[in-house]
Amino acid sequence: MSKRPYERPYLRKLNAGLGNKFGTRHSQLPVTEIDGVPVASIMEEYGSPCFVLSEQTIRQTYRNAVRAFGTRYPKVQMAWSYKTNYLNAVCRIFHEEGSWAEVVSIFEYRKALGNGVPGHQILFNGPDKSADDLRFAVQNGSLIHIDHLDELYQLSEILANEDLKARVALRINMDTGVYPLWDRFGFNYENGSAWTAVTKVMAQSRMQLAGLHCHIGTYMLSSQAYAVAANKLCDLALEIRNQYQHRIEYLDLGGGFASGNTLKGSYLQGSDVIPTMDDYAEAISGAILQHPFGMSGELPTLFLESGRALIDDAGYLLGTVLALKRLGDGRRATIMDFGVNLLFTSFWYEHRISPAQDYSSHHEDMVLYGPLCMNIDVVRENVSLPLLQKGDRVVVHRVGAYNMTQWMQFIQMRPNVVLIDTRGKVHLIRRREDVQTLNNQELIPDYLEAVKGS
Amino acid sequence: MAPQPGLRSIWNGPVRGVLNSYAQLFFALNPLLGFLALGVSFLDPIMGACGLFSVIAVQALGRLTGQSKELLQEGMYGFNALLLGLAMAHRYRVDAPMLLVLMAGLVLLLTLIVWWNRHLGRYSLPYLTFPFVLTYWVLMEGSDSLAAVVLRYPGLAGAGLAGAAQTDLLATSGLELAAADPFWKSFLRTLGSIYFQDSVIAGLVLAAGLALHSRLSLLLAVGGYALAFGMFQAMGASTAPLTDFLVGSNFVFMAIALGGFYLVPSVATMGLVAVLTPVLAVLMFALEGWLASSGMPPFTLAFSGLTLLVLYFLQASPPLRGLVPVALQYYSPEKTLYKHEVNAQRLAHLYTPRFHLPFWGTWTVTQAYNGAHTHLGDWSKALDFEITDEEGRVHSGDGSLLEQYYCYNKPVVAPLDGTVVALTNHVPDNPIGGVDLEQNWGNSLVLQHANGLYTQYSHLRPDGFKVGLGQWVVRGQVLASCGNSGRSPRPHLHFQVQSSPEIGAKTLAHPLAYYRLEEGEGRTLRRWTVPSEDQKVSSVEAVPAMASAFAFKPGQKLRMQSEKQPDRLVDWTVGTDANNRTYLYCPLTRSTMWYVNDGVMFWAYDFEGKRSSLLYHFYLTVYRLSLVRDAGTVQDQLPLVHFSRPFLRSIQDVFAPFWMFYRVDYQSAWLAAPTGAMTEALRIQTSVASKVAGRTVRQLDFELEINEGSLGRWLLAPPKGSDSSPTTYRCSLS
Repeated sequence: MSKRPYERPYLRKLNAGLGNKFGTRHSQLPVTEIDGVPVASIMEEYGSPCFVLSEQTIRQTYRNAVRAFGTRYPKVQMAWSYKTNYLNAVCRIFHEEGSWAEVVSIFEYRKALGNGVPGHQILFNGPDKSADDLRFAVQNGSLIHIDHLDELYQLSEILANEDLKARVALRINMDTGVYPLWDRFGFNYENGSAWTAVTKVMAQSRMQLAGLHCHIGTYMLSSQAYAVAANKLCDLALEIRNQYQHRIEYLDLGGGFASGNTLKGSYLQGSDVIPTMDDYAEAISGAILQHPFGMSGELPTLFLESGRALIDDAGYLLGTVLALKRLGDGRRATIMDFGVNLLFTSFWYEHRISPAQDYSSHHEDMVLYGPLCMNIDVVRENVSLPLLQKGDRVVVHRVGAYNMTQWMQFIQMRPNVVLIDTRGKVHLIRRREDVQTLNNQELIPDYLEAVKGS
Repeated sequence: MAPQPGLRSIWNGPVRGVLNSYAQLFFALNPLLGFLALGVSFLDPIMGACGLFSVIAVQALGRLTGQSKELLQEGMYGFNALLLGLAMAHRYRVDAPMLLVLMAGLVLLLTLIVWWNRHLGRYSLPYLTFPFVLTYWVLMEGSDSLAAVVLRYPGLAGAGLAGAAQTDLLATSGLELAAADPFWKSFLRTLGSIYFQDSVIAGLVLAAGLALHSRLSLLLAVGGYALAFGMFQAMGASTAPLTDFLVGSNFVFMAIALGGFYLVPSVATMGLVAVLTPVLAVLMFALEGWLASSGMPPFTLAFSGLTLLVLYFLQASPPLRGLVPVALQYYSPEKTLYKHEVNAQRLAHLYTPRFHLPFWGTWTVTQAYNGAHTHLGDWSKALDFEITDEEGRVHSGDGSLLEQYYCYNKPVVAPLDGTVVALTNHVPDNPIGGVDLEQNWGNSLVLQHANGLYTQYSHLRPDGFKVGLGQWVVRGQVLASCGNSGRSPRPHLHFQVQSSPEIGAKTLAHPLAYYRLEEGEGRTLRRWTVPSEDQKVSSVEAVPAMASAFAFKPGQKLRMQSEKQPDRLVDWTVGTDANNRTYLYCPLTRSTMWYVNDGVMFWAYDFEGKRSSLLYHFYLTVYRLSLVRDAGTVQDQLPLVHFSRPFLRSIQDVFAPFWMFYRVDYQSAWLAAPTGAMTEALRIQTSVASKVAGRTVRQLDFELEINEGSLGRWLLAPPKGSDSSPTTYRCSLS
């Protein structure tokens, strides 16, 4: 029998009677391993903090989504949303599973090409596409999702000058009953600018309107909003068919599906309130199938650009307790070696955090701070955790989406990222940054070369 | 030099019809053989002229009375007339009264043929030589009492058929020595006797013509005759009467007819001929005995009667191994055999209803045919489907709620076009574990398809129906959703094929046309089979770029333009013929390629025309292409007649029913797996290789590019070992 861990003493206000009829016991278990690999061994080898991705979870989540949509609708194509996590290893797993690529910048576009995605399998979204970007994407046969009229005009000019043809889609925004409305991207459905854009594209002989695209929001807690969106896109597609005898090949319903994280201010746990992939699939496919597209061969292909819901659960952040202190008002504070620099999502999620070693049943409310010398660096404002002490390891759950793209190099360096493959082998997929990484990019003017600290 | 239109129409019309009438006696459509036979018949110029006159007269009569031009051109009316003319000229002196009688006979003959075609043709029973024998009897009986019609050899009137010995001037010539063997002499004389010539040299010419036309026919003729000859000798009967006019020919005719013409040649058909030879002999003796008193010669009556009876017998019997009736007549036993060998499996299901899976995405077969739970007895040929996840579970959570089951409420779609003919939608879904034995089929739906086939879907959700009774649905249309009603403890879809429209009718084993089988990471396309228990299966959809590239529509033109010499171009037309067969036709070379696009595979299934044509090479290129993913390398076999060296093939012809050492392998594959994008560029490599005992004799390689959803470049690689660069064409459809 191993030595039982030391637990520091703690003070707690004694309540008379029952403060909570369920008591204060926590039944959550320590998370000592991920996919069978001990957390301690990962941290010993790759340091702390460290991001961990589970290939098994990625594939399972993806296949679950494919099953949810694929058994309800005959033609479904996923496009991996690069901005959610564009680590090449992650992208390649999705591509191997059959996903295309959805990119919103030329940087992501080139990453997708580098990952072996053929040009015609890249959807080029977003408001920022320069003339060079557009030309490059058109030459590669990619699908250009037009965001605004200026882009449309620019594209038209490029096509005319270069004698090229492009397959395009129009980004549409609309009222789906969920507020605030995302009306900054694309053309509005209700006020008619969407139809105006359609007429402008249809008048272009060098543009082929292949699809209609919408992305109604993020972290959507209502699957019905997607039914509304799908209905509006279908109506538009059928109107185009009636007016122009032109068949829309695909409807891109975007993403925005929620993951299991708990939003700040949410009363219930995230996993209790968010719709499942099946709910989203039922709403979308049910809506499209109700429209008179004709025989199954004429149904538009359904594109999905879900990012967060496919990768969030597969990501973990491993970290270490740096210090404990008591604040002026008596609250306990714990300082971790990771903060908002790495966990950008802690601005809107109440991340679930588990200790990585055994602990007793006693818990304590505390504030979790990150390592930055900045007041904003708060990971959790109030979290009930077992009695941690310096050097203890913790696991932050569901951090696969956005953190590895929105992280910032501020005060601290970005850490190692590892992938656990389906056979339980750990692979380093992004090396930690160091001073050299930054210095490589910097140039010192000649007249400052000689300056040395005095 | 381009053929003159006038000459061609004469050739195609009367001349070919006449020559074919001569060739038809050997079950052949071969003008050369016909010409040789015509020549043989003129060894006795008067008889030859009378035969030719009869053929021309009946052809003219046929044309005048609007008979089928095709049948006239094939000599189908002419060969009986030829026999009649020859037989009459042999018996009577050819003069005006005799010709008048003959003309009357020809009219009667034509009416007999038309009557037979109408009444027995619909049962695929041929008239063989019945019209000739019957007409001859009528004319014989009728003209013997006419004073003006005079016998040619009055002294031989009673013998009827035995009088030809004196006419053979060549029988004693030097050529006879070449055929000194009694069997060969007898055989060759028998061949000659078909055209009323008792001469070895006539037989030799005919045997050569037959060998040119079909080695297998000659083999059958020799074999059949040898059997008869041997049997006659063994039974102590004289073999001399065999060479009499149209006596021994009975055996030759039957051997060709049943050995390789009406049935696909095989060891079994040869066995059949062997079994029937004594029967034919007995029948011949009997007929001769019965008819002796009337003086009417039986000629080929025994052959016609027995062949007809056997064909009828085979039609009425269950399919027998090796005795396969010829569906499409090529007038060449070899061609029939080679095409049958390849097409029997390849095209067996071309025109039968093609069922796909009745759902979208990947499902698992949880109970297959003859399943342990409910697929028993009369209901054993059914399939149950559920959806499973990575761990093989059929539900999420603890599985206590219907909604946790992956298949619950999932769309059930029509596997084939059809009409909704039965529907129940009032049975509530059972809770998990419950069964409703009262209404054990639960909510069900039956579709009626073509060919009297029905499909049933059961245990559906009561409120998920998207179609109503009597509605026409197309493949892929949502019918209802998967539920848990009836005898169903947990949600699943029950699917069965049946031959009557009632819900719960007896099941019928019927394979699925195509589906994808998923085993681990591997996916394979399965064709015309039934999935077994625990297999994961999913529906196949054509890759959009391929589907669009091969969607030829009748009336369109497919243009092939040489890349090096753009002025070298040829237009092929897409068409549909009277039998609903789709084809590409090259007007320049008068070549045709027939094809079928069943949505999953493109099949080029026949070619007639010039081997030198570009269309022939296109036929070789697109012989079989997969339009869907996961088909792997498509492998197939070509009929030997479409890709072989003449000399090697003529050797193979002789052995074909017993042993195939010469074969043509075809394969096609994508250079890179398609992704499903409409605009993707695909490259398909195909090769055709003829092999003798496994060693490649000749190989052609092709590459076809698909660009932007249409046919792009087509590359014909030069033969192996040649230095020349590949020929490339650009395809465009308009």
